[in-house]
Amino acid sequence: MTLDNKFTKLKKNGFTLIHINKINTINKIRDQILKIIKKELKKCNINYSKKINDIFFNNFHKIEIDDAVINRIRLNTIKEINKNNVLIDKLYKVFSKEIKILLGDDIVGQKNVNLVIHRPKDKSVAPIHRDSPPNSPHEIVFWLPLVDCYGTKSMNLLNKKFTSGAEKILLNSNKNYETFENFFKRRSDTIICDYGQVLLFQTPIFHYIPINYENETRFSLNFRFKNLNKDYGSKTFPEYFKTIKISNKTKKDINI
Amino acid sequence: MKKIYSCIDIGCMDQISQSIQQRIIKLFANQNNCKIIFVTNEDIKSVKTQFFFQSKLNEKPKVDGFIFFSLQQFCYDGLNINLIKKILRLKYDLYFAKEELVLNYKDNSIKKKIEQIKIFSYLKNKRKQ
Repeated sequence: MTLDNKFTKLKKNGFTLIHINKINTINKIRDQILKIIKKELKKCNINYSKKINDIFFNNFHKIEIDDAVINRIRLNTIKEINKNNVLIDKLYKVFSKEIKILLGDDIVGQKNVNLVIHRPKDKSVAPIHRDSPPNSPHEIVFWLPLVDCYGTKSMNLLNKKFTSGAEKILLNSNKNYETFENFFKRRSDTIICDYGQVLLFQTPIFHYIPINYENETRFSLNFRFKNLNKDYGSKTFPEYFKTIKISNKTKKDINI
Repeated sequence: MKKIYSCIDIGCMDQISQSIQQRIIKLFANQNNCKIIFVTNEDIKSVKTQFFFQSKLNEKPKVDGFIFFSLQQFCYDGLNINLIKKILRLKYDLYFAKEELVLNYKDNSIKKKIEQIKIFSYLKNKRKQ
């Protein structure tokens, strides 16, 4: 499928899957994360079998760590990878072609890229939700798995048409969360997203990261880009977003 | 530890109360190894002119910098970039707690940060229109 077709799909359904061309940069980012996590494990005096090295991320759950420590490792890793907020610039370079087509020449990006770790049966998953509102509907979310994601290790999305249906259930006082959840289960798409692919979705569509019942750990990054000039929601500039690229025309308007 | 003055945003108190602003300011000051030694604010009528702050600045207090709640405090009457530049020229650091922005007068990236402030003001104006 061509890039144009992919974007038609994004506009129609609210999400699309894209093959990453500049995978070398992503490999380097993944290596950097691996290094940081290993350093964090060492800091916590946690030993792990060298055997899991090659497939470290998938086998991460085989290391015995309690939830609180995992969360500390995750937060420290997020802090480390986002030092000076340059990771988002690197990611922009990987996806600049797609972002230009989708969002134009004036771009802001999420200052701090999120890292999510879900070991098998980890119940700390968010309920079915959408990001907008309260976020801006003009944001595009990039969900970038660091491992192959399939089945319950992946994520589920409702397309635009069914998102409208789900909204109606939320407004109906005779229905409840179960009705909403059943509707979502019946109508949502499970995305098979391998390492080397990225899922793009619009913030107004409902999505859900299920409890991972596969026998591998889910590692993923997520981040957002939007046009500088489009309306902001609860995530504002410069608290949450930073400028990535500004056109000459806008520079002239701002006088910079 | 650096010594700083703090100044809350009187113009947004109906949305973010004084005590919450102070809490956020204190948290950001701590993160930046700063101790607040004096707390001040404008009158509701002087949010645009920043008379009270300017008079404090003219005293050239023996502190390392100033912490404000928000960039908005410099944007009530269009962006007062001259005042920001004056503060930096007087070798004070500037902190904005809400935006988590630090302008260190010695910093090489100061130009880039001033650009961010201009963009902030530009977006505010656009929203008003």
